Amino acid sequence: MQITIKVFGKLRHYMPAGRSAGNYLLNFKLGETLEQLLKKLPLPKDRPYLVLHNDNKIDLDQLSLTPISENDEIIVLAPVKGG
Amino acid sequence: MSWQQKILRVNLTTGCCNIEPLNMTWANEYLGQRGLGSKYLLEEMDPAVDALSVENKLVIATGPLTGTMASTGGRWSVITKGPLTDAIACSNSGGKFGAELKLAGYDLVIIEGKSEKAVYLHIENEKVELCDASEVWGKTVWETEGLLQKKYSDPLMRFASIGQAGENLCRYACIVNDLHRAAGRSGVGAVMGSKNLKTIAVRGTVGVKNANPEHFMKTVNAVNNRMNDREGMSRDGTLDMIDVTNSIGSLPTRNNRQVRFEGTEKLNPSAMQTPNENGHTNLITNGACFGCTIGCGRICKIDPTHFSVKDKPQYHKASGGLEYESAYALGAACGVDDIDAATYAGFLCNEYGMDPISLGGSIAAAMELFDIGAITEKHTGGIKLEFGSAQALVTISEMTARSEGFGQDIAMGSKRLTQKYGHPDLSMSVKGQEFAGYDGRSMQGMGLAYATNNRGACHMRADPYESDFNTTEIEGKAAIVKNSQDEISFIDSSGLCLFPGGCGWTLSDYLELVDGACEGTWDMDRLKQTGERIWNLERQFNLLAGLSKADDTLPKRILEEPAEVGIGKGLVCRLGEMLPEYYELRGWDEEGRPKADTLARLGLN
Ligand code: SF4
Repeated sequence: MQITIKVFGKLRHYMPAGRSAGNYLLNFKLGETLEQLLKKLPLPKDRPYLVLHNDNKIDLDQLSLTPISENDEIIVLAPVKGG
Repeated sequence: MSWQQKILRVNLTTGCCNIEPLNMTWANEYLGQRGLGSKYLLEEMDPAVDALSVENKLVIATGPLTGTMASTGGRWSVITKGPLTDAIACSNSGGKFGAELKLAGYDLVIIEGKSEKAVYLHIENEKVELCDASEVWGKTVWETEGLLQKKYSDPLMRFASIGQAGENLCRYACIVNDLHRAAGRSGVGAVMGSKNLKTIAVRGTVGVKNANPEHFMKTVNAVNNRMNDREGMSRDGTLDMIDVTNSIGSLPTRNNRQVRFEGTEKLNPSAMQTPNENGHTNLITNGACFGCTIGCGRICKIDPTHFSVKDKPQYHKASGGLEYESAYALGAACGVDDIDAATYAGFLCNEYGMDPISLGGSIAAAMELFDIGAITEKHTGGIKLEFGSAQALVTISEMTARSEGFGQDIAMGSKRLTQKYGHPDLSMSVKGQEFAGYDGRSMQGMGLAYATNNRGACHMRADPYESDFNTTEIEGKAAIVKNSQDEISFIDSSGLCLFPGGCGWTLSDYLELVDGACEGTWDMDRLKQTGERIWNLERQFNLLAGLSKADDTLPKRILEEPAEVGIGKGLVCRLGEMLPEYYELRGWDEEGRPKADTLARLGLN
């Protein structure tokens, strides 16, 4: 199955499509968790990031306990400052 | 050193320009720029005077690191009483003007009185003169700079000017330098206009000396190497933020009726960098202020076929484009998802000298008044001032810039505008200054920061971002807001920009630079105490100006109407719970007045 994940903020620049888009299509298997899904993204390990799952903020220690399903909305952001 | 130890005092009433020694005791206590300028203002002026009266003063201030080799060392500020807020105003700008002023030999320029005729101030090192400005009065910022540049035939001369908005006393007129950098907030440009001062033109070749240049340069290089996370800012500028706030539900939309804007994808960095159906790309390149190694500025072009500029070739050139705040205010706040229309309104802000945040906030308030029927096409001169209308945004921005028709009401700012039409609750402002692009329901710390900021709602005076993105719980927010307000007061007084803080610098990096450049020892305790002293001095100014605890509040909408989506879903801002804790941490009494021992500890009594 496939799922669209949105990557915003500074993290966008770690993604293959580079600067022009924030949406990425990923393959996943039924029963996979958010943690397993996010591991498929080329994100830096040391950067704290924010994950929204169907408009709920998911604490990083809850990622492995959160199952995903088709049509979920998943957004990954890097906390940024100011502007 | 790093201070020039000189002030230029310009009395516009008498026409006298004098050079005076800088009070070094104050420089050691308030550092420079925001802190030192505020100290001079409070010492020299009764805060209760009318902001647009002859008694108000305008302090143009550099910091000790302005004009040095330190990265981002081009910052300067304008300190005065703000006509938008009737509180202390301090507007910070970059570009090249501030460094040039410092290189001409001045830490501060204090402008007082009022000229009978329109004048501009011309500074070339110690040569200072007030000149007849009749050839540029009534002209835009861009025309003024062009004409004077030609007159002096000096491409290195720098200008800080008001446009027609400042001349016409628009309450949020700004002072624009280097064509598209601005001391933007609180109406400092209207104060300049009220004094009949059009421009400050400056050329400086004196240089800036450091106490220990070798040590300072080593520090500059070491600190530069630690700025290791700037790529995002260079590529996307501050606009990067729009997807973040939209995702978490903190992008004020349609005058804060909503917290998420469905048109964000048409305004975000991808939209700015992707060719449209005509093959036109909004973003041309990035731009940097003096000595900056980040370059967050956006240099953009409007699609020449867009309705806003179709027959106006003067707007087909590249100029300062949308930052996060202008994209929020001229876009989401008005429900407009047309990047060219918002860019055009932003160009007008630079050209005529208006703060885009307050312009957008005021138009958004007017759109809500129109929506509920409190104003009609009769008031607006036939304009359908509907949320989402790019045409309305463009037309009303032009009318405001030129002080025409209903534009004169928009130029009052949202507080006075909504009062005039009987709905003061619809002004999304604090102390009369319009919100920046964050919502105090999903970002509780930002709500407290808006409410307590000495210059009214503003996103640049506290740093609750990380905490707010992590949690909507309020525990600890008062301390985060208070401490970061103090730290930022220090940075704003140094001559450096705040943005390196999001690109790898820590507070210690700023401290090292100040310690490397200035006499004496600057350690973390001194940094924090200096910042706290500045914050409390500004508070004293406001209390003497007649402000009180009642002004440390937020619009009813943020306090009573829960957010509908995002991380703040179902929440209102819990300001009432955070404010007493904040006052206590500040050492203020229950009415928000600094206690005697707080003032004594900070040397303010
Ligand atoms: S980071 Fe941006 S605003 Fe700050 S000095 Fe550099 S270009 Fe100017």
